[in-house]
Amino acid sequence: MRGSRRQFMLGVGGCAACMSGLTNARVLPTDLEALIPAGYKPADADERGIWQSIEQIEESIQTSPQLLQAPAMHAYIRSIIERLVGRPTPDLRLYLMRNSSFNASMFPSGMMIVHTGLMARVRNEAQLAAVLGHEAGHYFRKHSIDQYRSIRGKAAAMAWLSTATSVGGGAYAAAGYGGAGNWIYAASAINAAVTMSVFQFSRTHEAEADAYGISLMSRCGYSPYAASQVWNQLIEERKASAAYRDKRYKDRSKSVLSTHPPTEDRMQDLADTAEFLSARNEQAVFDGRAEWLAAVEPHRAMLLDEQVRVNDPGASLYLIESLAQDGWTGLLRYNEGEIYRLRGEAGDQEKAAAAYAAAAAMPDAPPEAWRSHGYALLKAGKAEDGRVALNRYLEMNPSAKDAGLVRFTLAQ
Amino acid sequence: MKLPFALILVALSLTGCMVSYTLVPAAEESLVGGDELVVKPAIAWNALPVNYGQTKWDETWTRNGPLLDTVSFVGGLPDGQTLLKQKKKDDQKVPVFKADMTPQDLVSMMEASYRVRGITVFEIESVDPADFLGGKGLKVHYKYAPNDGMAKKGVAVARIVDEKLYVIKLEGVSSHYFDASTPEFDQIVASARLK
Repeated sequence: MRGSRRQFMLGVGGCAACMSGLTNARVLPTDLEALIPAGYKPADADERGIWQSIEQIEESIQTSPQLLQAPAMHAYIRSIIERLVGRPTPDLRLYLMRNSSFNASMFPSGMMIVHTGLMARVRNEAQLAAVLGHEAGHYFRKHSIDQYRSIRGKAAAMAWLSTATSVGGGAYAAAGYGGAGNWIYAASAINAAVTMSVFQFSRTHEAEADAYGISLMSRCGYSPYAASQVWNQLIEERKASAAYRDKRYKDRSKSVLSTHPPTEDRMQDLADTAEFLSARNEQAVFDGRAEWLAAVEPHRAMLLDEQVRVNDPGASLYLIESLAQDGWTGLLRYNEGEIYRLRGEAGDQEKAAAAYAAAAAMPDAPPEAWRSHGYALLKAGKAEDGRVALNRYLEMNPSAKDAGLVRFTLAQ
Repeated sequence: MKLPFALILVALSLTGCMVSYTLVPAAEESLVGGDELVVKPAIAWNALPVNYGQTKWDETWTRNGPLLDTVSFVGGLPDGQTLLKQKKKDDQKVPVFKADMTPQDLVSMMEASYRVRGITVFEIESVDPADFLGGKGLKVHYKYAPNDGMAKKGVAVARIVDEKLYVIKLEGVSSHYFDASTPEFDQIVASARLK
């Protein structure tokens, strides 16, 4: 199986799907050209209809409380997109949305959504570029209009409805975060064709967008391996989440009915493609790690908070421990404690207390670490030490939202 | 085969929509969220039908519709229970109430009941001590953004009495409904007593 994939990648294997029973469409990244020039306008009635159907969503997004106001991060992500595309992109409109799920999406009118849950998880600029390049692939290869016509061709209302529903549901299944909808889901529910998120669309289009994205990355010097690393991290996170719940990790995309390629297969395909491109590319590659860390630093506390409070303990511990591979910080230790405190199982109180104590011992401990440390000490019967810690919290953050209650606790 | 099944689902969902609200009369005491917590609203409210995922200690009222304003009650959640039903398939863990929770833990648990349902934007505005059920409880002001609706403001009072949790909270659309119902909320909280 793997041998035939490599042959196909090298272009000498003929029809790999016929040879090996390979279910994923494979696409040579070098074969793909952008179909959308700068300043593109909808070409026909179908496209105009699609654009109109998403205008309203875009207007809602512009005034949504979920819109992240972060001009520096916005400019930075736009610069990555422009680097990938190789030209200024005034026709792409980028929105950073506060949503803890791992996702991004691209709409055919040029609206692009990046979730904070994606920002929380990528480890360097190249990994972010991998997802942005994938989304750009959907846009520049005009997948939405293909999909629209495909769905319309099937005609029956039930087919339309079930596609919209399963595509939207698929995004959540893969991301591991069910529950209430979001903008990407809302758009899917209105019109499955207009929405191309990381988890959506047909297998053929996903494979093509993967290949296109990785080709853009490689062309401007990013490590092409970053794409498979993103998926690997996501799979490991889901495995950690499942393990905590005593369940086996299940790749829900492996269903025959799933619209996107199985995640592990997809990761392998991306790694193979990276190998193919690396062999052709002599230039030094760059992962933009320092640049990403500098850009994300001002938002790290918010991003971790969003993840930890979802209360998916296995996934959150995976994320914190992965970030801590670069060294523990007060913020990471505090969040480790919060994971255990929210989980609240036997022994967690002690684990949380130890993490808060470790955080408080660090010079960069956030004020909230002292609050949690203080309450943990009070719970453990160390009243005096607890009061000292809570007072430290109030000194560091006198206008804290919960200062009234902390003062009340201290007065008891 | 698929179409009849889909039709059955549609029929069932329509049936669900027809479950009626019940009137909560003004100026009369009502048992809420089980059989321990009693409140006396000054004006009439409509009690929502019990919904899927709701625990037996949970009850919600509305005046203008649940999307615009709600008052809800937790009428004595015992140690070891949860504010929301844990869905078996969910990755997110609904926190379990423990009678020895600190005020910080209580606030986190209430916040988590939103976060585990996919709400990312949730902000605590203030946490202060408050009189409730004849003793000191806590009062939390918060706001949040449902993923598919208008931003909401909320206020909750909570207290643990005899190892059980009692909560009354008001939520409303930020623009008007929350402020309009705040005096009635304060009145309901002041009227609350244990049976």
